[in-house]
Amino acid sequence: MMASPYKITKLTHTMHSNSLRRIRGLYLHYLYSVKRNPARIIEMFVWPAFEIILFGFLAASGKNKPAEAEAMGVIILTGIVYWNCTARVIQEAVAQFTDDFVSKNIQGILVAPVTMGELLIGVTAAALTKIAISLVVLGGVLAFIYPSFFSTLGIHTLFWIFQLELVGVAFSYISLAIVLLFGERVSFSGWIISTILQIFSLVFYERTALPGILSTISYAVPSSYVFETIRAYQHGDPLITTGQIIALALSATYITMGFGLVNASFVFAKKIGTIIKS
Amino acid sequence: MIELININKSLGGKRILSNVSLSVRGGEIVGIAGSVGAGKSTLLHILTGLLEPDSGEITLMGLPLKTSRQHIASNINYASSSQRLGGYASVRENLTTYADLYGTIKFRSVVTKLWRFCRIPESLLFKKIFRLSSGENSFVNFTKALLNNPRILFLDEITAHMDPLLTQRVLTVIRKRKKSNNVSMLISQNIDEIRHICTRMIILRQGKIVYDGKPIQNNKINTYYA
Repeated sequence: MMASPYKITKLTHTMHSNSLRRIRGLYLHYLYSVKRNPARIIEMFVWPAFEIILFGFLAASGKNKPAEAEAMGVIILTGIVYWNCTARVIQEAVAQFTDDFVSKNIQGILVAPVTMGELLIGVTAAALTKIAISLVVLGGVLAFIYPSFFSTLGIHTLFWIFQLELVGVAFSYISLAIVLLFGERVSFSGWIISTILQIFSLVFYERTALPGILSTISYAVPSSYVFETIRAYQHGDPLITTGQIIALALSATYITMGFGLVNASFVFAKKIGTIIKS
Repeated sequence: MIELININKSLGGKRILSNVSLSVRGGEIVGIAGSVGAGKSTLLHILTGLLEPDSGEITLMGLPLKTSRQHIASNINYASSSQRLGGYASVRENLTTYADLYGTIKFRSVVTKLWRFCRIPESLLFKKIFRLSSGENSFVNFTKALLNNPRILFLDEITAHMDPLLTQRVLTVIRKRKKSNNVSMLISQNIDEIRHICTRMIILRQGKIVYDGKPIQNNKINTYYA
């Protein structure tokens, strides 16, 4: 490396002390992106609310029918409500990120002294905030349609929501890695990944309902343990703590792997020019 | 301030830059010209770290770009007329965001000073990005690029959509940066613009530097574009 007479001896900014500020900037940027965007507001609040109204009435109507019909209605409603926690995190994170690719704002962000870790924390925190707001609204709708829903599940609800959001975070990183590699043309990756994940998450059925290899794969999906726990608890069984520990461990593993994948994708994207082609 | 040694870059099997070497001193304003597809934007993308070269060495402010990207990034900035900030957010919200990314404390004073000089009304701060005209959008991007008072500023066709008066003022701002020994590197298809403010002109043709020297006149440019 050749020596330069212009080598800077004192940098203008302190790197690490500004890390929190950069995360705040990214967090606000991704919150602003939805603030006045009618399409995103509809995606976040209106469609999930319609789903809950529809299946909430279905579950409520089961109360006057045989016990099995009522149970089926409750299973569907539970699945819809809780699956939102995972799927929306993935879809929201990808939508936010893709918006930046379309506008080329991603170039400005990546030229700034932002690390990939800070970017991911900003994206995730903003997505989780939006989902939290969305869940409060949807919880209000649900309390109106099917008042006994949360009271039967109790305080455990919060822990399950937390676990399912962790799964969402893990798989959103995998989706973001795909967007970094292929750009805005794979903006659908959030939907694809969340839909495939739903099959293995046992949202509406038991693990035994999946044939052979699919059942085996489901053991590697953390959300499958959470939904099994929720269903067991609804049937009056004790909480399956082993399953929840496995779910947490798997989520932590996937988050770590996802983080590595995003970093690898970024390195590769700089080689193939995905960021500049956006 | 900028050292490039034998930079090569191919994209999609096509050679974009071939053995580009360049040395830029503090205080220089470098204008990059060349026909469409000559590799101008690719060169800036490589210098900003958005693109990695296939081979070659890049040193900015004495630090290797490959290993000191974050340190360098605090002291450089980039703006392009084709870029749009967060569409549904206001100009103010976007600039606040970028001020956070660069750790700029006196963001408001940077904006006030620049906008007053360029005679841009502060009401623009409250306009949503998607409602901006192309010229306004370019100016907002230019403002963003000055938030951290960068030692090296990269501009890609930044005045392309601006009216002549605003263009003049923006060019004056770029020229003033020279006094603080800062470097500005700008791509422009407007040769008069390069002649007007640049201390040095580089012409790229098919990924190679075919001219590097004092800005030349419009009528002499054809030799290097062909």
